[in-house]
Amino acid sequence: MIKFIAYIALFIHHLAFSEGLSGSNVSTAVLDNGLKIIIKTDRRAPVFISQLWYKVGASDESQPITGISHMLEHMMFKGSRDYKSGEFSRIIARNGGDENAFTSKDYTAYYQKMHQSKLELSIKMEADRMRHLSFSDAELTKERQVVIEERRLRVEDNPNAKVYENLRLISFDSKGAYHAPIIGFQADIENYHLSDLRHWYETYYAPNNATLVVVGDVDPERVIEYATRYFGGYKANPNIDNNKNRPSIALNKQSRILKLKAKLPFYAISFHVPSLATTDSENKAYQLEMLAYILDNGLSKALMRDQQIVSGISVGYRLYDKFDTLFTISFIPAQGINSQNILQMIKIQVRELIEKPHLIEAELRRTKVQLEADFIFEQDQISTQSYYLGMLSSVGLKINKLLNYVARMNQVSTQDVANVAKQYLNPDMLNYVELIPQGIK
Amino acid sequence: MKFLIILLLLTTQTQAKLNIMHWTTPEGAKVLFAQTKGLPMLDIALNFDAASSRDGVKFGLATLTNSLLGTTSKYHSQEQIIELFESVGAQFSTHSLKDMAIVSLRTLTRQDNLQVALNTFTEVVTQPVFKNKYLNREKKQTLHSIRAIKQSPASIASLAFDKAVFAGHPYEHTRIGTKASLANISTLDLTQHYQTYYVAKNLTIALVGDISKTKAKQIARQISHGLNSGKKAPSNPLVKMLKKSQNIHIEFPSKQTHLLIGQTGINRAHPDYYSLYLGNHILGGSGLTSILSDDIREQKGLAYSVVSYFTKMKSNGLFLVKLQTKNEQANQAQEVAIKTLENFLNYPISNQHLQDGKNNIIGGFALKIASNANILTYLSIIGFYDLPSDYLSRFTDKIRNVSAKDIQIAFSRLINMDKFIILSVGQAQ
Repeated sequence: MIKFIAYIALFIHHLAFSEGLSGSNVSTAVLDNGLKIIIKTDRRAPVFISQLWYKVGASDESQPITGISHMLEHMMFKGSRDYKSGEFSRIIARNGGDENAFTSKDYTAYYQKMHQSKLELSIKMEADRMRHLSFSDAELTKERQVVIEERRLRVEDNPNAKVYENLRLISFDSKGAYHAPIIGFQADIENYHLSDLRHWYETYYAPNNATLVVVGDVDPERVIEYATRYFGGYKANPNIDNNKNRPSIALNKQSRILKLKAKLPFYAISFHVPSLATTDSENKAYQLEMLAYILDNGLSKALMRDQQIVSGISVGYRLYDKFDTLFTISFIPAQGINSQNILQMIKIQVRELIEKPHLIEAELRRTKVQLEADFIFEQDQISTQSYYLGMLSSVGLKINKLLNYVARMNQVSTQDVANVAKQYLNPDMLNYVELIPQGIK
Repeated sequence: MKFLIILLLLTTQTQAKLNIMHWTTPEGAKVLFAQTKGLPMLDIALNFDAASSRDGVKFGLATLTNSLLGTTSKYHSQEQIIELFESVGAQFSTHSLKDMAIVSLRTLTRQDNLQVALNTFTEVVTQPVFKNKYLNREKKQTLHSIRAIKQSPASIASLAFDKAVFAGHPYEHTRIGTKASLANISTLDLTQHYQTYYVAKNLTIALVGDISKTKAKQIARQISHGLNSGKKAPSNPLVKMLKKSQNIHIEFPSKQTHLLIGQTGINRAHPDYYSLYLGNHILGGSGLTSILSDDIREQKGLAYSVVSYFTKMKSNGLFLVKLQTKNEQANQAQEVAIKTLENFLNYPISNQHLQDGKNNIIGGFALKIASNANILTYLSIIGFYDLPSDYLSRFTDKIRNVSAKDIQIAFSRLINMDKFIILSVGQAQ
């Protein structure tokens, strides 16, 4: 079964190490063909998670092949050179493993969680499907139906998911990233050809477009040895970066009313903001992240607990998106409350935060303590640890960003929070989607 | 490998085998504790037998009582409580199911943080004040949840299935109650519910984290000391087996039909527990590699998700096969699912299936106890459901000894295909 062993001698001396994190238990390496490797040891239990992250996702797609990264993710379980369709999952399962995959805007990732004795098996099998996937029309026909069912389940029959889908449609131009849904438009899902999938695979599934992240009770030398043995023989694809100049394009002052068969209204607002990867000053990104926490707490207290004009409210910011992203506020109006009145209250809260930043002093202090504790709590799951490492690597950020997170957040002042609120939460520019329920039956 | 320079400066300690300690507090609370090293954190779950099966006729009472913990205590208001937890980075949460009403805390073990978090937690649980203001707000939120359920075909299906399978039993009604039942619940009801059920003898305390046994004893004692000793809640009646099959369809304007097929299940003391556990794992409990997933998703592309499971409750839970498919092919999917179940009941599974299923559970067992959060759940279950304290250490041996014949016999004894509930929510064709 070990078909790549001959390559080790050729490639081992090109191993290069970079950006290790001093003071942490993280090691990194890059193979000669560009495959990045990140290893974090965690010996609390005799298990590991191995994730292979590809830098490709919905943000690389446009019509008529939206959702193709996700479709390909499904096809990755449908057989490769060494394994028949479904056999990958069966072998992992009978070796005690838990496995799955996920696709997002900026990445597609595959993982196995297993007992530490199964490390080589996991890496060997993942390597096989990086370059040797079988493409069968019969499998595509069936799996396409599975994906359409997934879309019906997640989006079509879920009114709030439709609101978020529409918010991205109106907030980003279709010529750039983040416009189309990750799962794709139904018409596109219905029409991919096998050749589209093969092309996508051959373009993006290359070692220099991937990061292997392993967290758990492993010996970093072994991880690198196995990665070298099984991935080392693959050639880099020198043309990948040419395909990646498709940043998001902001649209402002857009709105859409959705009249759906639903019981509850829902309202979502977006503002355009930079991410940590795109900002001209990293401080700004952390300040926006802090603003999201402070507003989420502040609005929950004022609108949900005190005034009781919303049944739920949530503020979101995607610090680790690859391109310029959205700062969102979404809420469910309480029964009988006009959404415009709620919007007015949100604007008042934001204005107060901008004009009187000293009022959030205590809140800011508590949030910092909470973030510091959350950082420890997150170490409890090896999957959370590997998720952050893989995501950072996939959007082109150094992984020391993870360790610096708490320190950077601790530097944010009340005035900083007010400043980014003033700069980015401009009420004249916001986009919104409103769901007006039409009742059921 | 001489070119490797590993930047390995700090490695957390290797965890020894999980050692579960247990004792009873002077007031009568059962305590289970596992010390885990490597992270300076502690998880506490208080599991009271005080959930919706204790509602009586006031549906929603248990959930309301549970969710009002943390809104006011003898010495603090809600905003003060929130700020106290936040100021030390602690996470406080409440959760109420059908059997278990849970109050939990996650905190750092640094002494300053731990003490504030623990004192606040103890006060919130042992000296709550139920105020009208918060009861009314919580009722409004519950009415909102009731409307949210009505726009979710999955929730409609799940509640309707409970109603059918648990008819006449305290598990039948929804744990959040109904519009009518909520109207009749007062703060006095909450106080009475609290005084009856939030008592030491009705409590399992689970603790997991980087503290010593001495410290764990101290913490459990502090919490338990503030509670009345009280009485253990009497057992609920067992759920009765279904007398006949039922076909239920609920019309709903969704693109997919949600299909639920099943009947009465088991509790954790059931004599066939391990055969049924392993059998279900192979049938529909193991993701893409299960028999149901192979027949319905992999072979035919009929659904994104198809699963089967037992909810293992105190008074017997339910057994369920669940899938979603576009309305037009709901009948086809139902036929395939029924056929798969028939085969499973009529013929022993193949040796390959049996061995694969065992290997998955046994080989993957270390994953189940790899995080504090997972261990906490197991300790809660072991204590609350009176499982032997060596439940975890013997689990893989029990699974190893199950044969294909055992599975077939256990399923045939329990599952009667002539008395199925077949429930669909979607647009009938």
